[in-house]
Amino acid sequence: MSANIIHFLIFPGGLFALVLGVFMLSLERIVVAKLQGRVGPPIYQNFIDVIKLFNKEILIPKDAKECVFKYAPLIGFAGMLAMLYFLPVPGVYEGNGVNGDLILLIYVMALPAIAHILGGGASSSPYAAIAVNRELKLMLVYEMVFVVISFSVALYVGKGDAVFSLKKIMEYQQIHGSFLLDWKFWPAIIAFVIFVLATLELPPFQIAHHNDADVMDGFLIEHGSIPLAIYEMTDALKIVLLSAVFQIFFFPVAIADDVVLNLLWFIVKTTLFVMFFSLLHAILPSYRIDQAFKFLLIVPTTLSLITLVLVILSVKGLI
Amino acid sequence: MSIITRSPFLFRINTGSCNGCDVELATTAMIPRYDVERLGCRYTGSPKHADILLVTGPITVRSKPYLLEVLDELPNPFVVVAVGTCPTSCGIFRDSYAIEGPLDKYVKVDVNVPGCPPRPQAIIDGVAKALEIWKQKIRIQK
Amino acid sequence: METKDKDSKMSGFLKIAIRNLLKGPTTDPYPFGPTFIPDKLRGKLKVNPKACTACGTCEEVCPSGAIHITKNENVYVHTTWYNTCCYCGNCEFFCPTGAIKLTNDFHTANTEAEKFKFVTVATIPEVKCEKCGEYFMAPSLELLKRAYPNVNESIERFLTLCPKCRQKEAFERLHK
Repeated sequence: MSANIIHFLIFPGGLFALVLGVFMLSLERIVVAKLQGRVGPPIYQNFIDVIKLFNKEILIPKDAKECVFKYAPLIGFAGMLAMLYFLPVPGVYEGNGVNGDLILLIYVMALPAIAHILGGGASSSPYAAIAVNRELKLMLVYEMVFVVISFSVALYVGKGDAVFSLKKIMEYQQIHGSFLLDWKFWPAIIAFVIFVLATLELPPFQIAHHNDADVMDGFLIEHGSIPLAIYEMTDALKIVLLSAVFQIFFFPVAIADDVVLNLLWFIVKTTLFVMFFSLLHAILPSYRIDQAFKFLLIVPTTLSLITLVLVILSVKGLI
Repeated sequence: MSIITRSPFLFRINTGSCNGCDVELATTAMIPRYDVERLGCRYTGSPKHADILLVTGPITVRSKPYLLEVLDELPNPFVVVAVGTCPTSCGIFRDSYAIEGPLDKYVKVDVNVPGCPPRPQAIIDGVAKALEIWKQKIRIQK
Repeated sequence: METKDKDSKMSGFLKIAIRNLLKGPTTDPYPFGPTFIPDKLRGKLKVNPKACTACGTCEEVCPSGAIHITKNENVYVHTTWYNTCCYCGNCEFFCPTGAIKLTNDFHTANTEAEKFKFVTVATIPEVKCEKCGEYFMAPSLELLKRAYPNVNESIERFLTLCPKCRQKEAFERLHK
């Protein structure tokens, strides 16, 4: 019982993921700055940002729904924290898997966006209304991509019967070789990269949030100190969650039997993951909302459906 | 807690200026030569997230209501920096029929950076002085 | 035209990004290090009291009214308030003796407590005449050089004799 509480609060949930995630957020800023020819902030910058936000005054607009405004950020934060308790870390932590935690993952992935939408809608600002509109349109299409990728991985592991347990997906790859080297899954990896760009709201999908061209700060424009800090911490947890999901689906290789070495290997893989997305952030410009919707509807959906078809054909024995 | 003052969020408002000082503020933020992110600063899009308010321009009659709205929305404790000669003392536009006076009339200004326009290095100096004053305001508030 | 096409494709920025990674940042090191200061930078002005004659031209042409010249017994006080100066250089352009000049000092940030103390003051004293002992405003050497092509000893008497005594001396020299 007490081991479960430690797994929830300190490792790999709670404290470990929060600290790693906040470092990853400022690492992203540093890599983008170096690519643009500047010197970025120091590595502990986002820590100080979050601590400073707890010391400011909370201002609530007059026409806002107070209850929803103050408590909506907790939905996303609690969801991310709960999901990190279930995820296995390759070589270090077995995961507290019940048999259906892939389906739980699909639901929980959408929770931070729902928290953004509720919080933005409850503040009575026209900028927030436009940003919520755009976020909803994007959410429609990128959730579909993630569902199709998860189903193709689950079908392949179960050889026809879908296996929804993350622990079994990890163990299958540790025996049979990881999916990163399997040519049938390469379209799914490209689709997963596009999905991560869309869900973290990085360019080219930086339309609803931090878009300095029209909506300014998007749905967070009326939020003050403590709600804003909780949104930033949710963002930090989301980066760690996405990196862990990528490793479980495609590359859960542990390098040694030692727990500490495997933990360091996990951190190194997360750092490389975040650096790759910072490279894409620095290079690509941003789409308009109609271009983004069309792109997300056509390209990653097709790629993930190609992988699904290849997986079905290989399960039937035709490839 | 002096560690808080290492991450100020800046908000910029233009109350009728000629855009000279705004160009200098844009260069301190965005171009790689005078990067302001290495001091920990970040430009935000909303006054509700801001710690340091940068004002340019003499307060024209048409922009006065917007300035008063922004001053209402800043959370305590905050610091006001007047960038350029215009908000400090109206400069060459003094006694005009369309100017509603220097910034002193509406809020207690903390740092003045005169110049037409001031050099980006002088603006960074002004922001550094504002951080010291912000530190003292936090200490007084506790 | 060709370079514009090259940079608008995505690969254009990738080349810039890789060049930035290899060559390092291009950031000016101020305030953690020295920065470059050009010679003709329009910084704060400074008055040379030996060359100034308190003529009042700079006060007349200043567009923001930053310069004030007042008289305090036998001393002219030339005051400039930096917080309303717009660093245009009109005073330097119109000064007949070249006494007022803009330096390249750009450190102009000041706090509210010292807002009305951010001034520069120059005192230009009147000179006592050698013969009659009255105080008068003497021209400076630069003004003489601008007015006369050949400044010899008799012209330098302008500096120490009041106008009445100088007229008497010139009359005696020419008509005796």
